[in-house]
Amino acid sequence: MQNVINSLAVLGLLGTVISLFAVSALLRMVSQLRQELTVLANSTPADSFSAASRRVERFADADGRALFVLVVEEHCHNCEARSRHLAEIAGQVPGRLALLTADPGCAEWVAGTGIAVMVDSKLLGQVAVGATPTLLKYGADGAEQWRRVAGSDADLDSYLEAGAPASV
Amino acid sequence: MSLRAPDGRTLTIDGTPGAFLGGWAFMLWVDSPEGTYRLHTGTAGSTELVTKQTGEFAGFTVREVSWKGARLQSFEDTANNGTTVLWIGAHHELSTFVAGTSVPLEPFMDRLSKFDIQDSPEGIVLTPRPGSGRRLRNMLAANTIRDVCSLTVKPVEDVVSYIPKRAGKKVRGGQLWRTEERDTSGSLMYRTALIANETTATVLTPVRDDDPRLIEAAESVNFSLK
Repeated sequence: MQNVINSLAVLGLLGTVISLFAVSALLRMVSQLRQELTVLANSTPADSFSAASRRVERFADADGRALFVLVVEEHCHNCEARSRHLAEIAGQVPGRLALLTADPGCAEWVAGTGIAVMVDSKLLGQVAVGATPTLLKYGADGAEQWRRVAGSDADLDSYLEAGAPASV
Repeated sequence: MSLRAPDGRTLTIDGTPGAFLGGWAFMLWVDSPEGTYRLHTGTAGSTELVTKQTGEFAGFTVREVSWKGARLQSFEDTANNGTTVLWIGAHHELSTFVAGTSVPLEPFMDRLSKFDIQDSPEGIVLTPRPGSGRRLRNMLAANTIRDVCSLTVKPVEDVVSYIPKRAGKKVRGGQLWRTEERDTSGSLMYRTALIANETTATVLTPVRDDDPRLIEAAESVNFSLK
């Protein structure tokens, strides 16, 4: 009987020690989480999502020209309208022009113009655009300078002429 | 007839004495850390349809993009220096009004991304995402019975203060009171009917004052919100 009581006492002691270690580990995790949340709360949007930090190496240009990329989808009638308008004014835009899409059918909208068509789902994911059509401008070093959704042809004209919109 | 309200509850309507003019529209306030703004819901394309009928649409500058399978539009009204921004899904639309013109769509996308939006034939439901700090309040549903009256339905808990203390006439949809709307000088503008029950308070405003069909409608219609 005494042996049983001793065994239970040892097991109890061991359980207490293990529980203390578990609580200690838990407290450490909570402490780390609080520190990370504090850092996140104090960071500015520029720290986590600045346009300049989004760089695409293949968009860089040795000749120093900017690149305007219009991100489009095939089943989006505004994308087709913006693309066809871009094709019309391509000759007046100071810089390189490209269409970025996952749908090969979009190439037809700008066929016969100097607009490059990039059908590249992986790159599309990297660029991470939420709405289409969206126009992005990249500097000669391949760094993104700004992005704006192009809700009308007039918007597209103004973004291409005026440069970086104030709100982005 | 049952429909889903934007806060996820079900609004049931029965006993309608006439045809409703169209689908039900809802208005509600959204409280957010950045301030409060108003959202409207309606059937998909209804804002465009109504503004085309009123002739306003021709004066709008229209912008449109695709966003997560839905359409985002803005109707820029230069004459009134304001912009209506819309999310249009398969069945319903959401809209809000922003002062000024040349309004970018990105802030509207940011507002929408704070909600889980479920659009079905029964209605559109907005569920604030955890941690978004959004809260819905002051919901109101509205419709019109053709040539008879307009109706606004609110959750009864939001309007307890303006329900008369005296007992109303017992009708199918709860208790009925006649109320009067007066302008700031005290002159009578029109008489309305108020119906209240355990879940809703409904105001019926007649198209023509003293139209007997208003009371017929008020005595037969029943709303419940659960």
